[in-house]
Amino acid sequence: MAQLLEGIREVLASRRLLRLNLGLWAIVTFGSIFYLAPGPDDNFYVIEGLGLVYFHNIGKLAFDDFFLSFTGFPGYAVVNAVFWKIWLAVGLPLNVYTYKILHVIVAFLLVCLTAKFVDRLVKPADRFRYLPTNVLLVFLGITPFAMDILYPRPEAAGLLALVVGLLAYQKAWRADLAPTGLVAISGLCLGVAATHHPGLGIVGLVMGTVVLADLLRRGRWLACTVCIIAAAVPVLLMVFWFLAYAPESLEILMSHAEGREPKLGYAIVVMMKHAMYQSIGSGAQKIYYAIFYFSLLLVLVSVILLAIFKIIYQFNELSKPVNVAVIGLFAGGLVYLLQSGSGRAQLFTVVAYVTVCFLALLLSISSRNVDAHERVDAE
Amino acid sequence: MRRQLGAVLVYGIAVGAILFLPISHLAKHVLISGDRFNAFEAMEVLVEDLKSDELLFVQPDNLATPLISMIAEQYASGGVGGQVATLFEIEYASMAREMHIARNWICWVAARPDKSFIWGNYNHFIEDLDPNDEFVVIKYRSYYREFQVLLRRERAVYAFSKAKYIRGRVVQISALPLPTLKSGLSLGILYKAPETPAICH
Repeated sequence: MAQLLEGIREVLASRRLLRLNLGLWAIVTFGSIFYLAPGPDDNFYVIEGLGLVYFHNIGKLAFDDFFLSFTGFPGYAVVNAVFWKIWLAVGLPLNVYTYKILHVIVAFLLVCLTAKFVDRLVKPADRFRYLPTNVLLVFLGITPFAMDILYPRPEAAGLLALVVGLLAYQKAWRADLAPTGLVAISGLCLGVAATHHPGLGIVGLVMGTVVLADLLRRGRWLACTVCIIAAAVPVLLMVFWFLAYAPESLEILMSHAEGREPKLGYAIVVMMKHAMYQSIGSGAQKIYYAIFYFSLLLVLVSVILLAIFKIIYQFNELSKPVNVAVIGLFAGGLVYLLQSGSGRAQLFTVVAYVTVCFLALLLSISSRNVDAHERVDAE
Repeated sequence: MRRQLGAVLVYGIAVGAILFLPISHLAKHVLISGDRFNAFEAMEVLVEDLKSDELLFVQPDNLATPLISMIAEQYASGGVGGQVATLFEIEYASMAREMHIARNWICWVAARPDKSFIWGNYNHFIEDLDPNDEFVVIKYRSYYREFQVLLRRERAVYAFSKAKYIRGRVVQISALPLPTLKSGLSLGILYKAPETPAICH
């Protein structure tokens, strides 16, 4: 038995498994162009992006008239516009084979950069260095993150902005927050993520609040101010855009939010139903959803138990700056989950991502690598 | 030996977990009966069927995905000569927008009383009216109204388990109120072929 466990642990912590996992994720993301049928919203943001490219504002054509689009936040449409402007300018085609290319690149980058971020949490010399990263990549594949992340919607790009922000924050702490530019980038990324989707706005707000409170606790006033200003820039641009077309813009945005009012704990019930084979559909569909949601439930419970253990026995490790940022990310996901009144699949994409990230963080803090965070700990 | 067994176990779980999504989607083709939505196949069939002076009407937007290259051309040309119209998608809660788009749509159809068009929609919004399948009603919902298009069906151009693209000639377009409608929008029969509705004059 000991040998079996040793074999499992050895492979789980190996670089070879990490390479295999990343290779598999490349197949899953880029292959989705062929194995995933178009879902709702599949071309929604691509077309809004085309609106910005050709009509210089975010909107859509209805026959020969162009109407501005206020049904959602504009972040992902802007990302699409930038990408398609370049793509079409170099003469590449936009068609049924290529329309998802931006999204699968974003999704693959999200997986790779999250793996990089988690890897940086562990000491390079650690015998089990790749264990948290491998666990992250495996659980991302079996939770609702994988279920919805490959449909071209704003969640992947928003989460990518958050992880780029976390990488910048991690790097900034290595130099004791001396490079203010990196702090500004992390704040800017937080703001950019919030402009992608109201749900990511909630996650970003909670995460930002936790990080700022931590910075203030440490007396880092300059970093705190830079972070707030940088995060506010994209959010204010979005607010001004909506206000410029008020009251129509706000009226449409509010009407689109109807039926999605906060309902405490509703999404938890939805998750339990899916996990307990209670989804609507055929037996095969019920099994499909049950596997994803049960895995999320399992990870969520494990993470909460593990977090309690770490708080009791390794609080000092857990309270290091970058770890606090990940805790903020997880707290944001929990708030999003608890308040949601819709229980839509996209919610669980975000919740699964932040939960698995938090699990990877907790696994990175073990008795074997207590000093692993020295390089990011400025205190 | 046990060490190797542990290693095989981990590799197996990792591959199975990460590939669960593509495997389950590919397995759907085998396990669940009914045709799946194949956007590449739909694109070929629809492009071949769509004539240069026609429009294809769809709701929801993912049914427009097979023809996204045509949508891109439409945007590049400034909106003139487009061939794909996604009906009632962006005008939530704006009565002025809904009225504007409904007028554009109805007048476009009314100006071509002898032509047939392709209409894409999900099956639960398509209602067969007679056993010979001659007439069919396609329902398009905006925020305030449900538009019912009575078609003389010619044929199904492309179909999969959840939706159909039907070619047909418009007999009548009518509107029913949805609970969100307070007042101010026309209801009842809005267009009856081959008459030209008053809103188009």
